[in-house]
Amino acid sequence: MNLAVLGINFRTAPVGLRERVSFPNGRMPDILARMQQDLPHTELVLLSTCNRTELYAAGDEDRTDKDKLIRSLVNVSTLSSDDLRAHVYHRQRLEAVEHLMTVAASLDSMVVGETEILGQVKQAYGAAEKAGTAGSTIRPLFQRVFRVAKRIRSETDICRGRVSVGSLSVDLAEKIFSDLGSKTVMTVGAGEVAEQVLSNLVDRGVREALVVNRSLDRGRALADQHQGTAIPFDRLEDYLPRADIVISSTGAPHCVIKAGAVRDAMAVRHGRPMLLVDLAVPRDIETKVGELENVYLYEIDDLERVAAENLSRRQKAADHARNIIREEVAEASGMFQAHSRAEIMRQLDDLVRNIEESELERTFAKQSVAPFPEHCDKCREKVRDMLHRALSKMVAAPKKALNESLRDNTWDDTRDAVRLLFGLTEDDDDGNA
Amino acid sequence: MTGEAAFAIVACACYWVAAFVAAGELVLPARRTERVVGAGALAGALCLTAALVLRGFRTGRFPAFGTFEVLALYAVATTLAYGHIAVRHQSRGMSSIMLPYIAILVLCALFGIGHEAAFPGRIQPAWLAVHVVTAFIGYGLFTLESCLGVAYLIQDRNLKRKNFGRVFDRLPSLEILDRLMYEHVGVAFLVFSLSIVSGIVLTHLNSWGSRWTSDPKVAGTAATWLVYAALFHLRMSADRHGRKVALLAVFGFMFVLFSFLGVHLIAGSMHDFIFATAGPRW
Repeated sequence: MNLAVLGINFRTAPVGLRERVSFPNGRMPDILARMQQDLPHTELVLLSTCNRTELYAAGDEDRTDKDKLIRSLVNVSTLSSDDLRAHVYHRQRLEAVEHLMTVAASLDSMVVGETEILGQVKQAYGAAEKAGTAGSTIRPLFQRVFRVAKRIRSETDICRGRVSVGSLSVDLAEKIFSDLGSKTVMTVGAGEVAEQVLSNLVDRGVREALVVNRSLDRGRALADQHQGTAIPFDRLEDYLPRADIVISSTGAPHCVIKAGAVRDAMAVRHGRPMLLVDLAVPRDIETKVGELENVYLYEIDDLERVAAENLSRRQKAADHARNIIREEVAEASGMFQAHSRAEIMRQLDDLVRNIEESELERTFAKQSVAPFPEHCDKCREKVRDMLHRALSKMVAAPKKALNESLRDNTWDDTRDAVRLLFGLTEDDDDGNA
Repeated sequence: MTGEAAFAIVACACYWVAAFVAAGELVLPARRTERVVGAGALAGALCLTAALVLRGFRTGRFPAFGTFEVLALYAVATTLAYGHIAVRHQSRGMSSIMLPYIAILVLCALFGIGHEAAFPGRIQPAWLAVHVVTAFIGYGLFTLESCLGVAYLIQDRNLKRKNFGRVFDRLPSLEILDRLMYEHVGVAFLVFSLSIVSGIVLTHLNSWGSRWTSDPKVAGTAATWLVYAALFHLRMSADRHGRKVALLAVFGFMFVLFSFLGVHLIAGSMHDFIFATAGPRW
C-alpha cells in the first residue's frame, strides 16, 4: 500500500498555470469519478484552492507512480503533460503524510497560520466521500490529519493574531465591539486599504456604513457598493458621534479629524468606545485623539508593527508545529506498518496451514500408518492438532519479534529477516518510507 | 476528620486546581481547559455547599456565622455569579480573574473552620435567612461587577498601549464586559437593597431601637449602598459607559471589602458574631 501526492502550489507554479488545473468544489465529485477511471482500485482526494492543486492517491505502488498521476490530472485539466511535469512535486508514503499534515495545519500556506485551508482540506475529503473515492486508507488518514491540525491550532500560536493591516483592523473592531451587527462604520477618504477594511466590516455584518469623501460622487459610488450612505466632507463632524469605527485614508496633507471634534463626539456617546484607524500618510487624525478616554486610535505604523509581531510569533510557532507533525507522522507510520504486519502474519499462518495439510496428506496416504480406516479420522485429528501446536510454537517467536519491532522501530530489518528465513514473498503492500 | 472538614478540603483543592488552570491560560497557549475550570469550580461549589449543609444540620441553625461559614457562603455566592456569566454569556475568560480570588477565599475559610459562632437565638430565622442570603448574593454580584470592571480596565490598557498579548486574547471584548456590568448592576443593587430592608425589619422586630444606626458595619454597608446607587444611576438613568464607570465598579468593591471584612478588624460591631467564637454583643 502506498500513499502519494502530486501537486503544484504557489511556490512551484505561477497563477496562470495554477488556474488551468483548478477545479470548483461543485465539480469535484465528477472529476474524481473521471480520474478513478484512469486510476482504478485507487483511493483519491483532490484538493484545489487558489494557491494549490494536489492529488492524493492511495493504492498499489505501480498505480500511484508519478507518470500515472500526471496523466490522470492532465486528462481532467487544460494543461499539457510537459507543463505539469515542469512544475509538479511528487511525494510518497510518510513524506506524503507529512506534506498533507503540513498543508492542513497551514504551515505551507502563503500566509502561515491562515485558517481557511483546513476547511478546504475538509471540503476536498467530503467531495471524495461523495464520489466514493475515499476508502480504508484515506479515511483514517484524513481523520488523523484533521486531529493533528486541530492539535496544532490549540497547542501553538500558529493562528494567533492577524498579519495584514486590513484584517488586523477588523480584528480590533471585533475585540472592542463583540457585536458588529449593531455598529456603524465610517470611512473618511477612499483609499484602497480603507475600502478593503470597509468591505470586510460590511461582510461581518456592520449595521451601517457611512462614506465621507471630498468628491461626493466617488463617495456615493463606494457607498452604493456597500449599501451605505455618502456624507459630504463638511458634515464629517456632525456624523462623527454616530460612528463606532472610523477608518481614515485621505490624501490630505493635514489632519482632517481633530481632537476637539472627537471629544465632542465622545460627550454625545456617553463613554461608548470608539475605534479610529488612520491608514493615511501623512496622518489624517490628530495624535492627541489617542489620549482621549474610551477612544482607541491606531495609526498605520501601529498596525504594521503588530502585524509584523504576529507574523514573527507565527513563524516561531511553526517550529513547534513541525515537531508535532514529526511526532504524528511517526505514529501514522503505524498505519502502513499495521497493514504490512497483518499481511506478514497472514502469510505465516498460511505457511503453518499449508505444511500441516501437506504433511498430513503425505503421512496418511501410506497404508502402514492407517491400516484401519474406522480409526483413521480420530487419529488424523489428533495428529493434526499435534502438528498445528508444534508449528504454531515455531512461528510464535518470529511473530513476537515482529510485534516488538514495531515498538522498537526495527520493523524493516525484522520483517526482512522473517521473510528470508521463512521464504515469504514480498508481493504484499508495504508503506514504509 | 469530620464530614464538613472533608468536604471543605476537597472544595479547596477543586477551587485551587481550577484557579491554577484558569490563571495558566493567561500565560500558556490556549488549550481546551474550560471543562477542567468549569468542573473544578462546580465541584468546589458543591462540596462547599455540602460542608455548609452538614454544618447547618449539626448546629441546627442557618450556616452563616463564624469565619468558615461566612467566607464559604461568600465563595459559593461568587461562584454562582461567575457560573452565571460563564454559562449564559460564554465569557469564560473571566475565570482567570475570578477563580484565583475565590480560591483564596476558600483557603481562608478552611483556616477558620474551627471557628463557630453562637446562634443569636432571639432572631427570627426566616427574616434572618432573607437578610443573610440577599446580602451574600449581593456581595457575590458586586464581586462579579468589580471583576468585570478590572477586566475592562485591563483590556482598555491593552488597547491603549497596543499590547495584544495572550491576556488580550483571552479576556472578553470591551463591549461584552460593559454590557455584563450593565446587566448585573441592577440586580446586584436590588438584591443588596433587599438585604438592607430585611436588616431594618429585623431591628424593628427585635426592638433594637436606634442602636444599630451607630454600628460601623451598618455605616460601611450604607456607604457601599451609596456607591452602588451612584453606579446604578450612572448606568441606568444617565446611560454612562466606558472606563470611568468600570473604575467606579472597582472602587465600589473596596467598600464591599471594607464593610464585609475590614470593619470587624478595626471596630466592634453588632455583626461581630460573624468572626467571633462568642455570641453576639447585644
